[in-house]
Amino acid sequence: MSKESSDQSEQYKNFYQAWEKTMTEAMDIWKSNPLFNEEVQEGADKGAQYKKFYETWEKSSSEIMEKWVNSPLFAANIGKAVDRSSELKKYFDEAVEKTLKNMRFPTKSDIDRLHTSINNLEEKINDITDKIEDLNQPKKTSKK
Amino acid sequence: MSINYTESTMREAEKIRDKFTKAIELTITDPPDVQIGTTPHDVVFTENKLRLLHYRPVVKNPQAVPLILIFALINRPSILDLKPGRSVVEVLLSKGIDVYLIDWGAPGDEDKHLDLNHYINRYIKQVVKKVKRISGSPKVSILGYCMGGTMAAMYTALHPEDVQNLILLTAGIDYKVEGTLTLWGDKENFDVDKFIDAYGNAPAEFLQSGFIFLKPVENMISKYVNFYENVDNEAFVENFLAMEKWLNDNIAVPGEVFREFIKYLYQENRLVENKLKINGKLVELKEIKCPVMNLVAERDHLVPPDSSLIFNDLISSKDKETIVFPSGHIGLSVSGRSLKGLWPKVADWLIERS
Repeated sequence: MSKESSDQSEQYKNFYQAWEKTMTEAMDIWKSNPLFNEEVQEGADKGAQYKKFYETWEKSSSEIMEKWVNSPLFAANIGKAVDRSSELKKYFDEAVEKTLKNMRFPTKSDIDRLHTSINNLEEKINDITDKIEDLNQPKKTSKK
Repeated sequence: MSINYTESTMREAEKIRDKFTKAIELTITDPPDVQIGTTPHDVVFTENKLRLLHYRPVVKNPQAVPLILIFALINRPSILDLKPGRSVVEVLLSKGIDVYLIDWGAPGDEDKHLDLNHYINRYIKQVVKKVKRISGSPKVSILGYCMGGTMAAMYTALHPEDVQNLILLTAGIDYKVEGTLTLWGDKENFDVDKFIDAYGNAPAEFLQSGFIFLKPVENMISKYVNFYENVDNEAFVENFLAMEKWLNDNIAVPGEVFREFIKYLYQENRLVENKLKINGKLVELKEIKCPVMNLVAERDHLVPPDSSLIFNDLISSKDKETIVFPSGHIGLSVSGRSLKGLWPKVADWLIERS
């Protein structure tokens, strides 16, 4: 077994052990719930039992999930998924772009270029407005 | 094992059903129209998607040195003016500060080429010039939040002559500090070139799901359970819906600036290592000599506190202060505790130096 796959299986094992521990704790609380006990008395606070169960589950799940998303294994896998999705997106966009070009339709890139030209023009207008405002500012007079 | 179906159990079940129906109505089937970012303002400058907002002063003679708020390029800046009573802008105005805010707008695919140089040397530079002209003040104060704080630090280092005071709010400076985002953004895990070359901009959905996965149980389950439990508390519901509106109003980040942030900062930590160049000019944090207030959130899960704390050691300012506040990344700007206990203090600090 390579070092990389041994590290990965160790991480999966840790994750499984943490999950198993949580489930055991949660089941203990669940089993002690009066709703599962025939001798339950009228007026027993069932809501509080559910709440306790939920809080234990929430706390431990949160810890496990945070450990999981902070692990190098998760980061590497999410990175791979993003890579695959980028390849797919690029392939799909190129195919659409080629099709539209062949059909003599304007493509998304053409429209983006047009928008960029408009934005550049707006910047130039703002620069000119700026210069006009500078010229209209009262000039500072220097005493000789 | 049998379940004891008593009358009280039935009553309990009905109560649960009613609360659940109300929660579903408020969040999914019939959500109320919640308005955020409503403090009166005028739009005094626009360029491309950028809008510069000038908040109407609420005192007769506001402070002479205006303050510009620079938010991150992720999500909307309305978090700084969420709703009446939950607004940093409101606190600053009530203290007599002349407040401006940059709303970057939602970038389109045509903006994918916008880089750090454009944001720092064009957009922020233009805004500073405009604010100086409107206010008549030779300098401005700048407050940058998160990624906006990092950019505010870069601007101040490159144009120190413009900045009277600098306030950083949970700004990432040292990207070698361990954190989930640093791990995900690492060269080994994330090929940012491939990603941006394919997508153009960093899509809003990509960023949003990343933030949700930082704390999956809290963001996908606990938050809604908490809402269900408080669904009869009017004030809680109002705040929750306003926050949800802000959290779900996501925008993309222009591709080039995203690429530079990931590559130059997350992967190469160039700002701290004094190697970051913008338009050929080195960004040297030691060029910052103005008074600095560094605000850090103790439980920040997006920008680890240590990533921000280093800032005051890298600048030349003599008048510098750090406040580590017991809150999270967002809580620093919206929690009742920070709005009462932190922001009036920040305003006073600013007034003393304006």
